[in-house]
Amino acid sequence: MSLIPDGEVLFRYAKPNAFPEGQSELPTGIFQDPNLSCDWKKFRMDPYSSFHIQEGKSVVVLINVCDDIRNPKNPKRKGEIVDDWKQEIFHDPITKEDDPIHGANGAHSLIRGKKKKAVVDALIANSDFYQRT
Amino acid sequence: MEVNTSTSIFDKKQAPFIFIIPTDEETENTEVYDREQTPVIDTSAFQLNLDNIYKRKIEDNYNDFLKSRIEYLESLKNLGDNWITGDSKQPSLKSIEKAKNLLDLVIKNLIEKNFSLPRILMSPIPTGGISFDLRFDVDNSILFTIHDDENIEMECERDGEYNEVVEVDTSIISGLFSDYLREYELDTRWRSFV
Repeated sequence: MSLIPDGEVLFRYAKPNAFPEGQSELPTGIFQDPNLSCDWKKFRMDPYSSFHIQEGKSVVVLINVCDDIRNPKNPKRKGEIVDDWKQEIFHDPITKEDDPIHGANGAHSLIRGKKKKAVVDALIANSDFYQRT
Repeated sequence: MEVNTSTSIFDKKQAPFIFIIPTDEETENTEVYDREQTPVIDTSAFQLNLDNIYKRKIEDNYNDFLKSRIEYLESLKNLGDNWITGDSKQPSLKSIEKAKNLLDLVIKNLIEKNFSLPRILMSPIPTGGISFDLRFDVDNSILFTIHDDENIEMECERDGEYNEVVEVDTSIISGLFSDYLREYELDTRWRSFV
């Protein structure tokens, strides 16, 4: 398992109709996944080359890997690291055998750990998004 | 030198202010007279009118928001699975209904306590269910997560400090939520003094 260092960028894709019209900020819900699946930019320079785009997931979320996500604190920013909230961020390539429908995905990566509010808030604070029109 | 002793609020030289015309109902029995027996409208009627306008505006904002979000929650019945990277499920019908009721309860509480509409961010959750996050300011927020198994979790952030996750029953949410709002309001008032 190779850990993804700070400063790297991960992509996550979502369908636009999952969100209320006019909501212009990232909602908490999209990160509430103990095994948060994404693609590492190092192995997918162009986020639009993903099969997710063809499936209509045109909202692209960019996650900037950093220590605030890896080791969330309580109170946030200035408190102590909470062991239970720690996240493992690692490269997890998918083979053709793993996913016969979409094929191999060498960029696939995971952010693994409980997604308590503190963790999700750290993810939101270090993410951005845009939609392909 | 001629001194203008007029106290009429209709004298534009003396009282240049924005004029709001109250409705007949609001001005009923409020006509009073100044020293020169010129009829004027009691300013308390204006204040009452402003308060009413403000309150109506807040309620309109809330009602518009609630209507749009109820429509959104309804639309999630057609979202389908696979809506985000990784395994992702459409929220169950029960979790959608529960989210609608909870949002209604939260909005009613906010109106009752005269709170301005906070930012409320909503979406499904990949494991099945819905969450919404009420963001009062950068360090104060509440997250409600309604899981497909109908469990509801409430996580609070106060001044950047997170509480334990609490699994809650709808019957006690109103009380917990009111406590949070009261403490937040007291803190806000305190901060405005110091």
